Amino acid sequence: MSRQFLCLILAVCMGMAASAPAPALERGAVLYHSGRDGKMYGKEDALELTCSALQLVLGELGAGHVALYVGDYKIIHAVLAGIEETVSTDFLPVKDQAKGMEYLGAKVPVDYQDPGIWPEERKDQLVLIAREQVGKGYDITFHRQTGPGSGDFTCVGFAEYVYEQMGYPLTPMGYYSGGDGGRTYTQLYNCISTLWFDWEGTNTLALEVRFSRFEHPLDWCCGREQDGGKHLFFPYTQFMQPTTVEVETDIPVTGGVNTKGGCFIQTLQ
Amino acid sequence: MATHRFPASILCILMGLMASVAWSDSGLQEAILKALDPSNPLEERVPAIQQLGASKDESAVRPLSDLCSNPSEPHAVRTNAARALAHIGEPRGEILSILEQVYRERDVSVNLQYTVLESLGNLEAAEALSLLLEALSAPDGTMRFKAAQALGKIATPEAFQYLSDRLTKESDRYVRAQIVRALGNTGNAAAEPILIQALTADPAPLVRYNAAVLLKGFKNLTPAARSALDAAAKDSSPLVRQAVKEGSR
Repeated sequence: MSRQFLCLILAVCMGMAASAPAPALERGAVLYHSGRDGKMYGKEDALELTCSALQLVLGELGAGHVALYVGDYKIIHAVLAGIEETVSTDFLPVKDQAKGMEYLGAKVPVDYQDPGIWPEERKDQLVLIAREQVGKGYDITFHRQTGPGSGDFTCVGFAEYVYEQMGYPLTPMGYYSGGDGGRTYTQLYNCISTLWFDWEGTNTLALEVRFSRFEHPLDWCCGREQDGGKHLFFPYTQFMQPTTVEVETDIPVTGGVNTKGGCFIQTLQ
Repeated sequence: MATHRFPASILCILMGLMASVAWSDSGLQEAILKALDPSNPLEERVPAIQQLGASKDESAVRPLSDLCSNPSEPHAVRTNAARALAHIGEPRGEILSILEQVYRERDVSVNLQYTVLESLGNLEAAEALSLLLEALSAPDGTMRFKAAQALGKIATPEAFQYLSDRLTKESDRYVRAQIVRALGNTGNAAAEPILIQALTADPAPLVRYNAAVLLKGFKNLTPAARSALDAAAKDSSPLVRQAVKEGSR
């Protein structure tokens, strides 16, 4: 009888373990949120950029934001002030939520739960590499975006750089300008503020490599130069990569009070 | 003809030079005005501050110092001004003094302090050792981490001593790993026994991994170091074993 009782207890415990939620948010998870009103460049059918160069750089591009969760309720992310370590709730502060920015989720490498490939010390090393970048600058003109050599990053470029240093690039390096492996969209710029009328530009979204080619009447100001064109690395491109899978977010990542300027998004005071 | 053309071409070059000097001067002044004006939006001020740093022009130091040391300026203005000052680098005494003053400011944000530590490291500021020693024993682990990183870049015998002393009493594995990286990157032969100790005795695989990677980078290994690496080939951590095998970072 007691043996049956023990078996029953064991079965209940096993059942509870099997129905337990997925592993808690681990250090190394990459967090994503949209731009204003839930919009995000690449998520919508229309690949549209804003009119003015300043808006393009920081204002209302609406490309969203990316941060790296480093454990202990903290994130490291690239914002206008530089690479900063802060509490996880600052990922999507109250002020940005009020503008309709929405949390998209957290992703980790597909084999992140395999201790043979990602032992705890490899995850630790990821945090160490991220922490070494704290205090470096933000690439406000998007000329490099992924750091090496310049020490300047965008939000998505920072997350990419850290994983690349660990030998696990989230997004393959490369430049997309149309055709297979992404989407292309023709935008007609009619900008009263900058006096551009009926200016036609081709914007793209890379889905298999990092950089998407774009055309803008004022694109001399920003973007990474390659093959005679300007390119941006959009958060949505990284978010869509099959190198990562979504995991449950069981720590607070919204509701913070610190808004120090985001990445591609209107979070400036 | 040649006698007429020669002075004309010289004149053209001189005019061109004068024009470029005048242009760069006006560009610098424009950037200073844009950076200083609090009514300008941050998305205009920050690029202007970064431009001033990239100019490496010493005449930008005074306005950048004013921005960096003013607690009422927005956080992004102050952090970018600190980095811009470090980028200019001269006059060194004045810049180091401003950075130290900002670090010690009452109620200063930790991220501004991290930026100052990063900047002091980039400046290889041996003059700021006392501040870095203080930061190396701060309650905040990331502060100690950034101090260790900066001391590794300074790499003087005093900085080396501070780091090796801290390693023995540091409880945070990330800071210990950063100290190991900092010591190993100094190229100082005295780092070898410290790295051997870390590789063989540190409880954290993260620290042992970094010790293995750094030791493998040494040009002339002593028999003791070779023996420690041989033993680490059987370490319980797969990453440490991989580092011994491949020497990857």
